[in-house]
Amino acid sequence: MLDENELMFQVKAGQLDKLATLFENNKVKLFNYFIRTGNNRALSEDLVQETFMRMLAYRTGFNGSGTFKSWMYGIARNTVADHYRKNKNQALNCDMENEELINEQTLGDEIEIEQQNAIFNKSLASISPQDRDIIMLSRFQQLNYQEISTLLDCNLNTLKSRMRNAVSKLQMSYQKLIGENS
Amino acid sequence: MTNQEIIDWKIASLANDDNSTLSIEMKNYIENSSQLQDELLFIEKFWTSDVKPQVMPSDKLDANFYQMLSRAQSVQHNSSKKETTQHQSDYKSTQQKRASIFAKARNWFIPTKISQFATLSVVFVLGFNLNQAPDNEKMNEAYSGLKQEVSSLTTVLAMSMLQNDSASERLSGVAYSRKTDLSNPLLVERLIDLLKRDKSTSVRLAIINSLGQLKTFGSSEQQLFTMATQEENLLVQIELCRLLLNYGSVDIKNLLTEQANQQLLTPEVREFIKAQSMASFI
Repeated sequence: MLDENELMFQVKAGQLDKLATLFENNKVKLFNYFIRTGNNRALSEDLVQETFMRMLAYRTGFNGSGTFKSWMYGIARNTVADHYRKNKNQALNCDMENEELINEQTLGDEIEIEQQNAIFNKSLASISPQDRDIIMLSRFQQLNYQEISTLLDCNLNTLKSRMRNAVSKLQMSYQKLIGENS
Repeated sequence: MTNQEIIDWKIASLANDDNSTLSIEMKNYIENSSQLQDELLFIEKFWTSDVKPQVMPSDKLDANFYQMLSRAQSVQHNSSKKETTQHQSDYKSTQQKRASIFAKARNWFIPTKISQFATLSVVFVLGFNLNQAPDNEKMNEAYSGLKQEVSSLTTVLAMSMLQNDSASERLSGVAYSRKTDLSNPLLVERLIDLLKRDKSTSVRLAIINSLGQLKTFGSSEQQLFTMATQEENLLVQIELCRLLLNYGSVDIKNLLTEQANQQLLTPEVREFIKAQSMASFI
């Protein structure tokens, strides 16, 4: 099976049908990335579509210096940033922030996990978008440090320090919420 | 050994980015710091908990993507076909030119051709001298006057037909208006007015098609833009967008694209505008 970089090179060379394979491999991850950044379902679908449209339009810009994944998330981040720049008045439809915490007593494992997940989501929503982005790219989009540093255009050591800073803020927010909820 | 190094290792190992195991030195370091232990525990909890299961997108996303891809492929196909046709026709015409130049040169030296050429030259010189007569100017004036009169008669006829109750008569009116090259601003005004309120979709589509002759819309452009954004008939709305995207000013094209980006138009129209922009981009 061809790797994604190779597929993207074929798209660049004019084999547009290869984009369908890349779409099938990445649509769910990309869609969830947009959902997790606080967009609703309909907008997240539009953003996935827009990201792939841009990938097609800017295909000649792919040079394989980083991985396909980091190039794709770079386009995805620009797409969402452009969207909010154009629609300044449109507030982030933050599903994470609106998620209700379960106020019932812990009755079983399921409720406990659900409760914990809700607090994690709230904590994620409460930190700055920049910090949230780094954590999400690593935790949910499974990008490694090298890919994230290429994507954010910073060196590896800077990224590590930013990651630690972000995780520490997330932990603070988590503990605060645990305190409020207990 | 620092806290930073251990946290880096922890995150990298959780993200399957580092498979190395914890060294004794690291273990000792962690045991001596309760704050670091808390941090590591939190990271492990967060990285291993299923914060939110993956959400599946709807089938609409697939449909839209494959529609976009097939459009891009057809644009690519058409442009490569055009290029090939262009190359072929260029090659053919060069070959033909070469052949015809030699054939012509040979033909010029055939005796019968020389005599024909001499006769034609005499006819041309005679005709040229006769046309220099002062009466010819008057004839030209009369001809252009007559042409103008015909054009204004067609305009009057078109305007009266556009007022007719029958849709087929109004359609004929639109057809007549096309013959006048739409130089009369009153006729353009009447057409736009009819475009706003006519009940027949065919008449409205015919008007939009005719307005394409104008190339620039001047003061009517804003009116057409308002119509394009507020129109309820999807077919008419898409054709209005096509008209403005093809012949409108850069500002109007940008405004229309902005409307599509801000999701102020129906999904179909947004899709159409995106496809048009993409086609021009590719």
